[in-house]
Amino acid sequence: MPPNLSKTTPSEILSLCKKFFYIGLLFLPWLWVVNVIYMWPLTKHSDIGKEIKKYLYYSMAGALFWLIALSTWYGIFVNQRITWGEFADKIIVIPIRGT
Amino acid sequence: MSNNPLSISQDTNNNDIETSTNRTTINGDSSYRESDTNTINEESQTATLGNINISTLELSDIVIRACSNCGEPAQYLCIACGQSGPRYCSSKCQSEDWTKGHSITCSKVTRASQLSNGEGGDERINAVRTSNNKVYGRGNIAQFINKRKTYVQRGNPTSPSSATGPSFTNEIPLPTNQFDLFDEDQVDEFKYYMQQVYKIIKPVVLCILLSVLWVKISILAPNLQPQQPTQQIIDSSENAPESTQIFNNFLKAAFIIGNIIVVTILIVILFKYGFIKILIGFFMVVVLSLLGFMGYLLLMTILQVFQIPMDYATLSFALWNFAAVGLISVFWKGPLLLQQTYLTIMSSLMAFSLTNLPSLTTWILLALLAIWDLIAVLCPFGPLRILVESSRNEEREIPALLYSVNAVWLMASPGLSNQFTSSSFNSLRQSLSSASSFQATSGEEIPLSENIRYNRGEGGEGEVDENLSQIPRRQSSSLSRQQPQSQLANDDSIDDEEVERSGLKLGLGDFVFYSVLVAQAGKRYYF
Repeated sequence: MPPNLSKTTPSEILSLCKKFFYIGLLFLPWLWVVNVIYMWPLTKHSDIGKEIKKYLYYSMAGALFWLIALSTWYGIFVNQRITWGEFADKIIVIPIRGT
Repeated sequence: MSNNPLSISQDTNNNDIETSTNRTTINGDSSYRESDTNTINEESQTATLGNINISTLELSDIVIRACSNCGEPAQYLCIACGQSGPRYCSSKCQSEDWTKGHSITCSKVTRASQLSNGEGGDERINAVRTSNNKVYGRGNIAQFINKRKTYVQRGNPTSPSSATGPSFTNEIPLPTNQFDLFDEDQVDEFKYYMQQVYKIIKPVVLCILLSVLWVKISILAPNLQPQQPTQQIIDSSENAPESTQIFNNFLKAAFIIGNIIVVTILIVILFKYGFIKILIGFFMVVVLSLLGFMGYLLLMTILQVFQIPMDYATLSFALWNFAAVGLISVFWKGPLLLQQTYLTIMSSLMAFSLTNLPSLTTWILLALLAIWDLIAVLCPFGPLRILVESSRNEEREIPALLYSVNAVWLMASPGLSNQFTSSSFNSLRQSLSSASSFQATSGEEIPLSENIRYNRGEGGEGEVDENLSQIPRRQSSSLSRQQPQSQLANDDSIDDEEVERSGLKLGLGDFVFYSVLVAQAGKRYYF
């Protein structure tokens, strides 16, 4: 049951924001993205906006880091898998049939 | 948030008590004009608006008071103030005068608080407003309708604000346009439900389209068929006579149904003995495995069809993110839109996994499911019936997977028509009380309406039963996919937040059911 955020108290929002951030440390950048989208409107009209913003910036940075890391890895994998030979065949999910 | 319940009252003047009370009032004060309208109306109940006007014009011996607002001959009066109050020529004038200052002087304002205290805010009788609300012109039904659209809940007795806010009796000019009011209210009800249905149709259609899409994609990938074993059974029985094939399919479907029945009974037992945490944990496992495993199968298919090179690290990372965030948003907290999206995707994944069975098995399965639903809900010892009853008795909510529209009200309240008639009935009472001198009858009026409401509640039980048979039907179809859900049948035990957030809710079982049907058809035919 997602709560109505306009109803919850600022301290609850802050703790929720923190929890989202800390859970996101478990390799969950997608949760960080959700956190940022979810909480960003609340930074304006809340007296704890700065606190929240801090965690949102952390989340954003983390998500960005994962995005860059993952896309870099994937780019390397796609381009270099031919040269890697047998190692690439091991880590590929479904072998691509040659045309 | 102005979530005051506010019900439009419809006056119907073909009530004997009302007219007779009116007449007694008239006898005391013969200079009162619309009392004659009422008398006439009693004589010819089919009198139209025009007829009434003509007949009132003929009664020229009665003193015609001037409208308090514009000075025209007036034939309406403020209900609450009665004889001593101002006269109006039209509801428009009444609205204007109300904003001009009658809102302060109106004698109803003082009585309203008494009424709400005594009644606990029976909003079926009273239009309830908080004091800081904008004052609306009274008697203008369009305003009432417009205002009501903004309300998140109506006619729900558990409303907290109804107890605190001062309540007003809805003032409606007597008695000529009462039939119009009735119709307008009905139209409003229809509009409201149409909106709700539209909101629920969107995700259902999306889910169906998604499952059709999954099926179409999986057709393109003949190499990777998750249903390899089941197909082999079919292949081996190809030479066998057709009856044996049907029997085999029937056996398979029966096996699945047997699993479903076992799981359903297990859930009922867990719920009945209060192992809610185990139950929720079980659902979490189901959701996680559904998102994870079915997502994995689907992703594999997509990867194969579109020849996407993918390594295990990236794949598992993406799946882990997808499934974990889904789990968090569904069971804990998250934006509503995200939750809705996840539920839709989950249903389509479930439907996709069911369409992997051979089609004959699926059809038999669907038929068996319908039968099982009927048995589970209607039989006295049906597990779903027990589930709903025990949740009602112990006032516990069944943990469930529900798609909620986040709008208004609960579907599982005792029926639209019931509510509707009772509100019209109560407003009839209200017009009764207000047409005569208000204070004198208010003592009687409140218990009367309470009585009515009580009777309605009892009479509504038949409808509740009807609801029962619908609600658990959804449950069972979702239980059948091990995603039980429910609708809390009595809204008394729902706390405020939930009442506010609950709109139309639909079990995921329905999503899956429809999607399987369409996707199964989409598997065979090209459209």
